Amino acid sequence: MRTAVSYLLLFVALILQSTLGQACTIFGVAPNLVLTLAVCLCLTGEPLWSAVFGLVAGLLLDISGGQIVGFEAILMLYLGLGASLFGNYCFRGNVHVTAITVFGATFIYQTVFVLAGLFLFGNGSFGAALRTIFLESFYNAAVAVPCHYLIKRVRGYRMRDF
Amino acid sequence: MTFFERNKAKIILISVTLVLIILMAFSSLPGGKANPVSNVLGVVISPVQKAVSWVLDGTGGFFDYLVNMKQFESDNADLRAHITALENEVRETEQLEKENTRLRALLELRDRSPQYDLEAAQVVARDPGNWFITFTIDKGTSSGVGAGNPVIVDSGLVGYVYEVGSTWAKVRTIIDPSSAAAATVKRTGDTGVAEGNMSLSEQGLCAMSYLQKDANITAGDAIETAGTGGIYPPGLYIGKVLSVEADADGISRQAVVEPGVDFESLGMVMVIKSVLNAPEVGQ
Repeated sequence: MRTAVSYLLLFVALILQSTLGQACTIFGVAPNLVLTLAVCLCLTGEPLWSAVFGLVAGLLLDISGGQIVGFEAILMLYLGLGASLFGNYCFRGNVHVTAITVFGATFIYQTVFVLAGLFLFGNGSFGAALRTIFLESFYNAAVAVPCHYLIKRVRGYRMRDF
Repeated sequence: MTFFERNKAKIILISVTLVLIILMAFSSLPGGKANPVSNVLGVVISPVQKAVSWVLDGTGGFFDYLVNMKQFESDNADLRAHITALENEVRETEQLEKENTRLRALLELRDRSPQYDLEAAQVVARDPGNWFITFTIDKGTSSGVGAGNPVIVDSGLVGYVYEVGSTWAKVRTIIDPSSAAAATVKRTGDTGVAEGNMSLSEQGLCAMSYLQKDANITAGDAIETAGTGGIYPPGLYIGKVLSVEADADGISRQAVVEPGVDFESLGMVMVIKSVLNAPEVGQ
C-alpha cells in the first residue's frame, strides 16, 4: 500500500511539475518536484527499493520531457540509492536532514546534467549555470519541507518498512 | 555462496546502468515518432496535464486579477492624486496668468499716465452684494493714500477713496447711488453728472444725468470725467452710453452708461495720490 501511495505521489508530482511548477518560478527557476519527492521518499527506503524508485522517477522525467531517454533515469537511480544509504546513516525523521539531502541531491543532479550538456553540446559555461544550480537547490530544499510532512502524513515515515 | 549471490545487488545495479546507457544511445538517434513506451505514457499523462493546466489557467487568471487589481487600485489612487495636483496647478497657473495680465495692464497704465502719482493697491474686501459698491484696499495713509483720492484701473474710473486708515482705505465706486462725478461726452463736449442709480447699480450700470435737452449724445459715445467736481482729474474714462432718454422732468435728458470697469473682477487698482503738473481747468 505504501509503495502504491509513493508511486501515486510521484505521478502527481510529475503532473504538478509540468503545470504548476512552471508558473511558480523564482528568478526564472522552477522547482523539480519529482526529484524532491523521490529523494524525500528514498531517504527512508531500503537501498534496492530506493534505486528502483529513483529509476522509475528518472524514466518518467526522461519520457515526459527528456531528449535522451535513460540519462535522467541513471541520475535518479544513483541519487535514490545514495539518498537511501545516507538516510540509513543519519535520517531519523528530522526535516532539516531532508532539506539538506534534497539540496545536495539537486546540486549533484544539476551539476552532472550541465557538465553532460557541455560535453555533448559544447556551448555555454559551467560558471554561468551555477546560479541556476544554486537557485534550484535552494528552491527544492524549501519545497522538501512541506513534502517531508506530506509524506509523513500520507504514508508515514518508518525505517526499513518495505 | 557464489560470486553472484555475494554481489547480487552490485551486479543488478551495473546491469541496469548498462541497459540505460544503451537506451540512451538508441534514444539519441534521430527520429520523429515516439517509441511505444513514450507513446503510452504520453497518452496517459497528457489528458491529466491538460485538465490541470485548464484549472491553473483559470485560477491563475483569477489570482492575476486579484494581484493586479490591488496594483491597479494603488495606481489609480496615485493617478487620481496626481490629477488633482495637476488640476490645482492648472488653476493656480490660470489665476497667475490673469493676475499677470492685470498687473501688466496696471503697469502700462502707470507708463501711460506720467502726470499722476499712482499707488498700486489690492482689493482685500468687498461689499457682500452681487455688485459691490464699496470695497477695501490694502493701502492707507502710510502709503500716501488720502481721502478723496481717485481710484482707477486700465479700463477706466473705479471710484474714489472715502475713508482711509493707516494701512487700508475704503473706496466708493461710481455705480454707488451716493456717488457723483462731473462728466463730459468726449465726442461733443456736452457735460452732465455721472452718478450711481439704485436700479442701475444692480445691473452694474450708472447714469449720466442733467444732460441738456439738445445735447448731441448717442449710444456708443464715450463718457469721461470733466475735472470740475474737485475730486476727479479730467479725462478719466468712465464708460460708454447704452441709451438716452428724457428725464422725468422733461427739461433734461439722461443717458444710461455702461462703466468701462468690470467691478466683479477687480483685484488690483491704482490710487491717484496726486496730479503732477496738472493743467488748470479751462486751459
